[in-house]
Amino acid sequence: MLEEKDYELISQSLDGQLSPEQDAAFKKRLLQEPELNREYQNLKANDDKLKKAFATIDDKPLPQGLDKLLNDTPQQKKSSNIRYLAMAASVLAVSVLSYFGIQNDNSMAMSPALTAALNNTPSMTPVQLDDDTQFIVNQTFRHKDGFICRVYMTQDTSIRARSVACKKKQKWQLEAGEQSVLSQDEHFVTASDQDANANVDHYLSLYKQGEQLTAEQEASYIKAP
Amino acid sequence: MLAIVELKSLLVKELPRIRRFALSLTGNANDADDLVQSLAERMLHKGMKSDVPAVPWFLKVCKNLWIDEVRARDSRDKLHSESGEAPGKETTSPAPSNELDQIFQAMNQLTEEQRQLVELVIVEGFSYAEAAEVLDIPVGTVMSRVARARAKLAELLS
Repeated sequence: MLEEKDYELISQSLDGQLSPEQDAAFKKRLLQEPELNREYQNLKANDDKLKKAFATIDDKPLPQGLDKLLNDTPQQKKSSNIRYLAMAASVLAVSVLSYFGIQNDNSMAMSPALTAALNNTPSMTPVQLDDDTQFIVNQTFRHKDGFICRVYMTQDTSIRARSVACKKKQKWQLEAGEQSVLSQDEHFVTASDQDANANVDHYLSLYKQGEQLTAEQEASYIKAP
Repeated sequence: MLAIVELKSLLVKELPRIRRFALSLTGNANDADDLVQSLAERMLHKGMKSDVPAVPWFLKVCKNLWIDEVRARDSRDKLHSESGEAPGKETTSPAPSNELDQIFQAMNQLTEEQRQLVELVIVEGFSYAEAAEVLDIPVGTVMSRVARARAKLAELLS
């Protein structure tokens, strides 16, 4: 009967995870130990069976819905997610630099729920944008060009985003953003969450004028619900 | 952010790999394709930064979506059992008719994480470090769990 460490060694060898020296020593053992060799061949054969089994899904035709989703052009797509696609398309219409906030005239199409939340929600007050998306404003600040801007976080069950939006000509426009995929046991963001914020921090370092607005200053720009 | 067209093209390119990973999560091809469709909808809805490694990102989101689905199914089953309704079909596995069935039945007896590791490392050829990144676990854990999964499969398939 092989020991657990022998299985680990076989496994590492099959996965190409041994160094050349370790692999040479292992191959030498295979020649000297029939039981180890037998188990190595057995596990190797099982690996081949697994690869063959998983390849069966490659031959299965794609479901119509998925095929359509991936092969439609964005213009053809009509779905309840249209608002988000419009947002993504607007982001993509500008260069990476403009995403960092270099002046542009592209108006960001935001969802009505997000627009309302940006208009009405005081900082540090979580609200629900839709069934699975939470929203919280971290801070409100004045842009060097005089606009009012807000740093906010959204999170659904899988993705967390931190973004900056500025109100220009009475419309909120997305200026910078970062996303991260959540691990299984993470919960909703707090206002002090600091992960993956390079874009947003970079934007703030370039365009934020002075300190963030106080609650009283902020209150004059938002209409609390 | 990636253009929708680029994102779609990435999804199409990685589709076989994503489908196989989804199969490792769900254990059957129909649920796997439903999961892949949810993933595609989610990715096109949320977009993706251009500088993130696409495959680990897709697989992480896929895994999270499956966790949500399992939780939702559990809640539905609980609700049904509280209301006295039958909680969906209780399946007793039929005897495997061929080698393929035998493999998937054996796979279904592994833990969820073992199944994911088997697919990522053995089927897709991910390094331990890459698999660790997708599943958010230490590299050493990948090594020991893959070895245990192989030993368990060998026992089940012998």
